[in-house]
Amino acid sequence: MTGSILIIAAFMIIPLIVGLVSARKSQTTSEDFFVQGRAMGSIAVFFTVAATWWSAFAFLGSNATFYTSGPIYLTALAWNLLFGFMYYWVGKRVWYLGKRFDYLTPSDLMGDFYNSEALRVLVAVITLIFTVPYLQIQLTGGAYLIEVASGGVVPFWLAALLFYFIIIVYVWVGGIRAIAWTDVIYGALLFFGMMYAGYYIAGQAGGPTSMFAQLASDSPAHLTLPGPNGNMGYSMWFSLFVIVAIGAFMGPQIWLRMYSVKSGKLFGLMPFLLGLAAFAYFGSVLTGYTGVLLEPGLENADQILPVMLMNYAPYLLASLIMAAGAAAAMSTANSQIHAVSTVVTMDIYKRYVNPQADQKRIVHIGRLSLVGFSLAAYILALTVPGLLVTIGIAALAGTAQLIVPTLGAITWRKAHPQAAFWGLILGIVTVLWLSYGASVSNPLGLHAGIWGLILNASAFVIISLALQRKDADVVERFARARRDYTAEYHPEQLEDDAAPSPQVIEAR
Amino acid sequence: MRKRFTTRKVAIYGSMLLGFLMLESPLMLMANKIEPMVMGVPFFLVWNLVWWGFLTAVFLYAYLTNWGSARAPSTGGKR
Repeated sequence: MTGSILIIAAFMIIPLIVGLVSARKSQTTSEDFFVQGRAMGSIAVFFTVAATWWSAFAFLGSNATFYTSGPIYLTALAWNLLFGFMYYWVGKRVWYLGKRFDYLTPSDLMGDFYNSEALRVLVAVITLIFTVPYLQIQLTGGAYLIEVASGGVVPFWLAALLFYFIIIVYVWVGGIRAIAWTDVIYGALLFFGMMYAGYYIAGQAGGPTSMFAQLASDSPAHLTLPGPNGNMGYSMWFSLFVIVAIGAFMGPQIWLRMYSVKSGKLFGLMPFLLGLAAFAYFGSVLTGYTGVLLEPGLENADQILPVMLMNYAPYLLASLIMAAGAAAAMSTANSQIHAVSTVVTMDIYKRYVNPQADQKRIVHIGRLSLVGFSLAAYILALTVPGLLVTIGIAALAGTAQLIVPTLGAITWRKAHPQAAFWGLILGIVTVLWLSYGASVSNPLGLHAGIWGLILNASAFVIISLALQRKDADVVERFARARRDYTAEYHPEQLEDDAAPSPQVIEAR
Repeated sequence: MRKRFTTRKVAIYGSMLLGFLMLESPLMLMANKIEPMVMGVPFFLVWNLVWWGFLTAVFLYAYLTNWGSARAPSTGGKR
C-alpha cells in the first residue's frame, strides 16, 4: 500500500516539477501563454498532440468497449489514421493561416474569413459547450483510477481535487509550454501502460493465442460485428470512425496545437507517428477480451481494467499502470482547461469586454479562466454519472460540426458566412435533438453526429452557392494566402507564372 | 503549364483511399469472421491490423517523399 501511495505521489509531483521548470522559459505575452510563441518543437508537438488526443476515453473506454460490445472499437485504428491525416492536410493550412494572420483560437480563423461577428461567437460557444463534458469524463476516469490505485485511501473527490490543483498550478505559471513538457511524460506513460497492461493481463488467460481460442469457443460474438449485444454493427463502426476523429480534431485543444507548431515540415510526419501509436490499442483488445473470460458480468464496464489489475497483477505494477491511465486523463484535461480558457480570454474578454487589455491583463484573465473551468468540470464530475464513451461521443459529435466551415475557410472562396452560420446551427440542433429529444436516436444506425454533418454540409453548400459574398477584399486576401501556401508547399500545382505574393515570406 | 499532380502524389492518395476503403467501407464486412485464425489471432482482427500497417507504411512513404509534392526551390528562407 505504501508503495502504491508513493507511485501516486510521484505521479502527481514529477509533472508538477517538470511544469514549473518549463515555466522558467515562459514570457508574459499572451502568444507565449496560449501558443508558445508559435515555436513548439517536433518532440513536444508529437507528444502533446498524441497525449491530448488519447484520453481516458481511449485508456479506459477502449477496454470497456471490447469487454461489453465486442470489436467495434477496432475502428479506432482507422480513426487514428484519419486524425493524423487531417492534422497534416487541414492542420497545416490552419497553421499557415494562423501564422500569417495571428490567430489564437478557432473563432479567430472563422470570424476573419467569414467576416462575421455572429459566427465568431457561435464558434466560441460551440467549442466551450461541447468541450466541458469531455473534460468532465477525463476527471472522472483519472480520479477513479487514483482512488482504486490507492486502495481507497485517496477518495474520488480528493483525487479529482488533487488532479486539478496540480494542473492549475503548472498551467498557471507555464501556459501551453508547461503542458507540452508534462505531456511528454504522460504520453510515454500512457502508451507503455496500455500495451503492458494488455500483455500482462492476457498472460493470466494463457497468453494472447490461448485467450483468443477460449473466447472463440466461449463467446464468439465478441470477436465479430455486431458484437454480443447485437447493436454495434457496420453503421456504428463507420459513425465512430468519422465522429471521433473529426470531433477530437476540431476541439479547441487541438487547434492550439496547430497554431503552436514551429515548422511546417512536422505536419507531414504526424500522420505516420500518430498512426503508428495506434498499435497501443492492441493492448486494450487483450485487456477487454481477457476480462470477458476472467471477470464476466461486471456492472460498470469502465472498471474492467482497474478490476483486472487489482485481481491479477502485483499491487505495485497495478498502481503503476493505473497511474498511466490517470496520465491519459490528465494529459487531455490539462490541454482542454487551457484551451477553453484561451477561448474565453481571447474570444470573449479581449474581443468584447476589454479590447484595450494589455498582455499582462490578458494572461491574468486566462489564468482566472483556468480556475473557473476546472471548478465547473469538478462539480460536473461529482454530480453527473455516465459511461465515459457515451458522454465522450456526444460531446465529440458537437465539435465535429466545426469541420464544415473550417474546410470552407481553407479551400473555397465561395464559402458564405450565412451558410457557415446556419449550417452549424442545423448540425448542432440535429445532434442535440437526435441525442436527447427524438424517439429514434440513430436513424439507419448512423450516429446523431453523422446526421448533423450531413445536414450541416448540405446547408453549407446550398446556401453558399445561392448567395454571393459582398466582401471581395476579405475573399481575395484569403485567396492570396491559399495561393501562397500552394506555392510554398505544392509548387507543382501552380502554373509557372503564378508567383507568390510578397507576404509568403512572412508566413514562414 | 506544369502538371498539377505528380504520379507519386496520385499513388500516395490512391493507396490511402484503398486502405481506408478496406477498413471503413462495407467491404470490411467480408472480413467480419473469426476463421481462419492467423497465428492464433481472429481473422477480423488480423484484417484490421494488416490494413492499419499498410496505411501507416503509406504515411511513412508519404513523409519521405514530401507527400508527392515537388519540393519548393531551396531559397534559404527567402524568396
